Amino acid sequence: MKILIVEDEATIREELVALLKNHGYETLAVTDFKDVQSQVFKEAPDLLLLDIQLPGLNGETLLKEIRRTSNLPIIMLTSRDSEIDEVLSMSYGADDYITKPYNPTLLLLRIQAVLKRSCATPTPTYHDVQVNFEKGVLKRGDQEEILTKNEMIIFHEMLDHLGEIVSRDRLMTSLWNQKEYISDNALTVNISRLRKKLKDLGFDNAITTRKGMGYVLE
Amino acid sequence: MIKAYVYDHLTAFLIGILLLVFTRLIGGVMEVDHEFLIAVLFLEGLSLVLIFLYDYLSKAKEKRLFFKRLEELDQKYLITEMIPRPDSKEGAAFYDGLYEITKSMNEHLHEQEDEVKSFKEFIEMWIHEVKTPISALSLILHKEENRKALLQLHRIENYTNEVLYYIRSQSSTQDYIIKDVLLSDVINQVLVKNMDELRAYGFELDIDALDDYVKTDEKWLIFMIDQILSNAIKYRKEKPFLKITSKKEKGMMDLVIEDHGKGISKSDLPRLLDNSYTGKNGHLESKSTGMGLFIVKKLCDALGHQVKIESEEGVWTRVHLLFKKDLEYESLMKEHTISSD
Repeated sequence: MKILIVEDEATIREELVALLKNHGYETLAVTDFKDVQSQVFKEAPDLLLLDIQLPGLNGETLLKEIRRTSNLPIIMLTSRDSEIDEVLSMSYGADDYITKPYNPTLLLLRIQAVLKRSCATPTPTYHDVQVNFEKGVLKRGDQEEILTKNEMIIFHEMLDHLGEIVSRDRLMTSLWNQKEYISDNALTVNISRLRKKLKDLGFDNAITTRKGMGYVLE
Repeated sequence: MIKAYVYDHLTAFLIGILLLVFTRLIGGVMEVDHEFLIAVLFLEGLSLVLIFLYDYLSKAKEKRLFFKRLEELDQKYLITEMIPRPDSKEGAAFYDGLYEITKSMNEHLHEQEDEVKSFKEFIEMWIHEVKTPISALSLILHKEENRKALLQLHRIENYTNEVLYYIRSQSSTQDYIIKDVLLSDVINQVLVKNMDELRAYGFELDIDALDDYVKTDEKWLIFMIDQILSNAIKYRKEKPFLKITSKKEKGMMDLVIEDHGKGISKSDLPRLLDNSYTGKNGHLESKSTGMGLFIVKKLCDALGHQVKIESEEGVWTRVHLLFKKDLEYESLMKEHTISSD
């Protein structure tokens, strides 16, 4: 997945590039703000992070211009928190907007959500297990395990990052973001339940704990 | 008014009476014909009465008009616009003086207004500028996983927001947008924003489904709930607990944010929403600006919501945000638009 960042504040731009690269996205940033539009089309990213205030041009205008010819997913970055900007951005066809200061975990979740919406996702599977997010069911052959909403959110997040470390922070943000306000203790409980259900499906030690880092689903 | 006139003209009256007395005395000494003397005294007396009467009546008309207009006026300092310049030299002189005075005061007022306006604009701009380094710092500190510094940064962000919304609450222009807003969405944004702190202090949360819509400005409501939540975090006790519920009451939507914290003393409760009131808790902690709830009250007033606080000291605090029925709300907004045009 290739993400292009259009943000004039050098520090923020560099931090965003580092953050996204760290999370496995191919990341590019515009540093020359002349004719940004043709740079966008030349790079043809999968997603555009666009600052609303740019030197010499207006992010909203640029958004409008791009929308004329392309469906490229766009997330607007705003610092002026006047509602009007956001209302305009959305009506000009931005997919989402994020207000400064950014919470990086939340930013990553939003990016993930927008990308998911724009790309056709194949029927999700975990090894030979069929995953039904809506119904909360894991199916392997004729064996079924029913997950609670919380367990499914956790499993979903880990499945999206199969084989990678997923931090507790990320799991908590994802849960809270989906209006499941559980405590840290409850997260631990949920993970052990999820482990047991995976074990019942025949996956022993599917989730390993990396102390101080998070969890890995293998 | 007659009393005041007599009081102001006592000397003139005395001179008039003396004139009559002297005429009588001189008449007596010079042995003037008695009937002639009476005629002279009568004429003198009549002249005096006419002079005073004319003087009183001519001024009374101007004065009456002045005080009548003054009473009618809302902004008293515009009085010279509302009365004609008097014909009398004396009245005209006073009018001119008054005109100068009010003109200089109006100029001064405009200068002040301009200053306040540009100061507000500067502060708004400054806050947007300062959000850039706060954002950069937030990204850097998250990368370093520096939780302590992040909590402090979050406080800085809250205080800057407080200034921004204080200015907005004082502004007569309305930069809010009323839409249907889903309560659970607003609460979600505030809770996710405060997640780090709530987790760090081990808050237990009990959040309703909150699937009701209210008519409000989303950003303002987020700010208000953020302030209320900040207080719940600031004045927490051991085993902190936060409960958010919503219920329909008499057609109004009642959003209740309850915490099991230090609570508020009975004596502090009535003044809690006043300007700069910090109360006992504030003094104990000595870090409360006391503006938070005052701003919440101001924003509620502007949006047509109500805020109510109840508490039992040492046990719990409940903050109610009450949203009006749609219908009432629409008529209120209509009035608002008409009067602001």
